[in-house]
Amino acid sequence: MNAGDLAAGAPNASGQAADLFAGVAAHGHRHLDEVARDLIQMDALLEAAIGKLSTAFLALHDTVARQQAVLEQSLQDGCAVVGCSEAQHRLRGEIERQVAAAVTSLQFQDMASQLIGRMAGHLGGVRQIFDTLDTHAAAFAVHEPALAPLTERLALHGATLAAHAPRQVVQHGLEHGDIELF
Amino acid sequence: MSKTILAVDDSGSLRQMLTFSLKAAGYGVIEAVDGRDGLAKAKQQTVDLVLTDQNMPGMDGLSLIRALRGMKKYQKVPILMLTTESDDAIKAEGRAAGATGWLVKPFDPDRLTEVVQQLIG
Repeated sequence: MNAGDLAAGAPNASGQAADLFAGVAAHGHRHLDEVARDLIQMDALLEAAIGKLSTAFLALHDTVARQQAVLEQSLQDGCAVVGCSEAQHRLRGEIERQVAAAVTSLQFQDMASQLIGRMAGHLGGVRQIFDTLDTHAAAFAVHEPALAPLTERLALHGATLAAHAPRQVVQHGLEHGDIELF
Repeated sequence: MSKTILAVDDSGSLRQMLTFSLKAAGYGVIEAVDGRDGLAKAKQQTVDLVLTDQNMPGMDGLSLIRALRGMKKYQKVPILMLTTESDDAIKAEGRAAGATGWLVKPFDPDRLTEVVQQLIG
């Protein structure tokens, strides 16, 4: 085995650190790319679901109002009026169509839940990477001046994240919120 | 007498939508929260059709189908998979397990009841 083979088979400390960082970065990126993709998909699902639900709700409201008007008219004119019966039948069909659209839209929760489960899995993967680094941190006791700028940058990123992170969403349901008058 | 359908899904909202749609079409519905619950309820009573999700904790849809097809009283009962998954490999697995059909979520209530009517009247 010559010197070149040895270098390729057993990289020096700097080479090992470079491989480690490249591996961590690649692994972390893979997880985060999946999370980003799932978030975009969930956003699209939510938008589609809420859009459909809003349309169905407004259409139902409008149809029920028209149904009421037809009912009142038929009570005034007597129930045997053919036109009233046809109008009732048509409105009933419209209501059924809108309810079906709402039923389809309401299933977004099931898909959103699966996406959230996937994202939680990927975030768990990222956590495992950091846990592994943390567990083996003692190995970095080797004097490595090149790591100092990296440590400083990480500290800066941490401070920026803490300063600019949006507040957490506190709602856990869709019950209406309290009203407070000052 | 109305036909009874066993609806197996770990999503509460999905079960609610299934029950709403099938009851509106005149069917009786028994709900189960996962494959194991579905299997227990299928053993307790005989149902006319089974609708099951695939990805559920404990026992998934394919395992439920295999278990049901292993019981004499469910060898001919239609079993529909209702899932977000739609790739050919898992569909083939479903078919091999004994699924009668494959519906991809979200379902349209009218289309669902049409399929159910076609299978059990």
